[in-house]
Amino acid sequence: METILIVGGVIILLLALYIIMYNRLKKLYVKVEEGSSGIDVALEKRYDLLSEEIEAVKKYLAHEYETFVKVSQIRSNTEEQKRNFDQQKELTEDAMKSIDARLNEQTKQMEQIKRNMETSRRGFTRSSNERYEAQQAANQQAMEAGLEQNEMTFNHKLGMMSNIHRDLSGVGASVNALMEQYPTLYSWISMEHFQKSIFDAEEHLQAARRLYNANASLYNQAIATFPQLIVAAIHRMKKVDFYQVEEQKKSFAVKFD
Amino acid sequence: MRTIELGKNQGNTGDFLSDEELEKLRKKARTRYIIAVILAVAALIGSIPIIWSCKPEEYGMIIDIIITIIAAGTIGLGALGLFYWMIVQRAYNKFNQAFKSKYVLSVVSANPDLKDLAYSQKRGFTYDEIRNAAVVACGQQQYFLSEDLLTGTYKDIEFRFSDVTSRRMVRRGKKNVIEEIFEGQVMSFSEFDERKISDGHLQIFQKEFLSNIKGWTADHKIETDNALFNKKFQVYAADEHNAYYVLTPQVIEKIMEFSEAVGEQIAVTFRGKYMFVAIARIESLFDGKVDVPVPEQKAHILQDISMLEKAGDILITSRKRE
Repeated sequence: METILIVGGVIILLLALYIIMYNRLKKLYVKVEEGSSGIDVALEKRYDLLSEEIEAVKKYLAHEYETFVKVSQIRSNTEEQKRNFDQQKELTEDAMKSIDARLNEQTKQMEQIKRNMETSRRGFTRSSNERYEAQQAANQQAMEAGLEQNEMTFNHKLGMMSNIHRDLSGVGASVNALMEQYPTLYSWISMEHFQKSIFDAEEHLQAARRLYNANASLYNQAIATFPQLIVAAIHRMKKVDFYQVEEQKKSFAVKFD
Repeated sequence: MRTIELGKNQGNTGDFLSDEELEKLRKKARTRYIIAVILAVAALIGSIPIIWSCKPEEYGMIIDIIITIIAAGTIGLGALGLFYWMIVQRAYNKFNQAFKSKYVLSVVSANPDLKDLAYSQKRGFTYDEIRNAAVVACGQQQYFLSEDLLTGTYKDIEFRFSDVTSRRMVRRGKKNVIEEIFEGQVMSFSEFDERKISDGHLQIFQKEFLSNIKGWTADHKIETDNALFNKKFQVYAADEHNAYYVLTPQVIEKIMEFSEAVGEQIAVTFRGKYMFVAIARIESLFDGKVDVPVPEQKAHILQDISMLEKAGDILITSRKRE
């Protein structure tokens, strides 16, 4: 009776141990599968993330390229106008100086004429009157001719200044238009975000690979050690492969072509 | 540099004490300490004949001697503790507070990498902060103590650095005893890697014989792919994938390097963007010493800060600091 109880107890104990070992091996195998699934998740995440980001960055870069080309064109036109404006500015300054000189000269002439007229009025005879009137007429003609000449020069200069003013207004309008139309180019931010996303995806993939290898190692150790190898052999549990490096990545040649 | 915060009952501030006055306080505390030691030794020696006369008869000579020595030693230590509390403590606290007030910020701020510094003798981490960080066991709140808080930025990373002592009440036989769980320094950094965030807790505890500083632990116990690291440290994580994401081979090497550099039992926890580092040490931060002249004690302050610098230099990988 005692023998039966002892044998029964031993059998139950062995059975319990067998169940415990089997469950442990199965748990370890599930962990390996979980690790493998984790790699798939990381790969899929990387693919989805990068494919979407690449499309977005491509579009943004294309938009930036077009905008940059347009802005460059506008910028080049504005520079030409600026050169014209500088030339016209110089002309205007010369013109103003000559106008001032002419006006001063005319003022002096007018004063001289007035002084002459005053002097003539004091010692005045009929002949002097006739001569005076003749002289006055001549002076008047000269003055009118001078004024006409000045008027012509001044008109010319005014015309120039009107042109300058119009051109300046045009340049100002162009510059304002540029400021309103100039886009804020943030492609460097999108590129930086893209690089961060790549890094993050790669780090997650690395973590998934290492986790899988760690679980695979624990499982392989368990089925290779006694007494669990007996349970593994009964249920034909086999080693799982570790995550292998791709052949092309084993020898990487750096090329800067 | 912000205004130094002082204890409530402090009479004089260290800022107004000259070096000579501070040295006088030190010598006063040292003198009292020597007196306390002498009295304790006297109590020890004086208790020997009393214990010998009161010993039970049934034991042999050797056992009687051992019992006498142990009893006398216990009395001596008890007397030392009593005399220290009665005679030395007040004088030492006065010196210590004045010393810290005068020297801590001025010495620490000489380091160009440390900026926006603020120091408080009475403040530290809160109980909830240590509990939520789960870097060490927080014990029971009524026995929790944290002081000597230094805050600022180290190479543009915000940090907090403080003494922490956690204790709990345990039942030993028929008595309730307050057991110390952790005594040392805890530091927190606002960032450990500008490109990564830890999804949940990731805890790393250094194994030490007869020392268990970990309290609450995350669900998963992790075995990394570094056998030496696994031998020296225990790792717990809320998520296994996150553990491997944060604990790259480089980070594992850095943690081992930091442990070697500090030479004490350490614990590191990653949570969100934050990193918490605990170092188990008996010595308190920035404490003044009565047996060393005041001007020579600045080096001890720098030694305490060097732990913070080592943690920042070794454990933090942040591109903006490169």
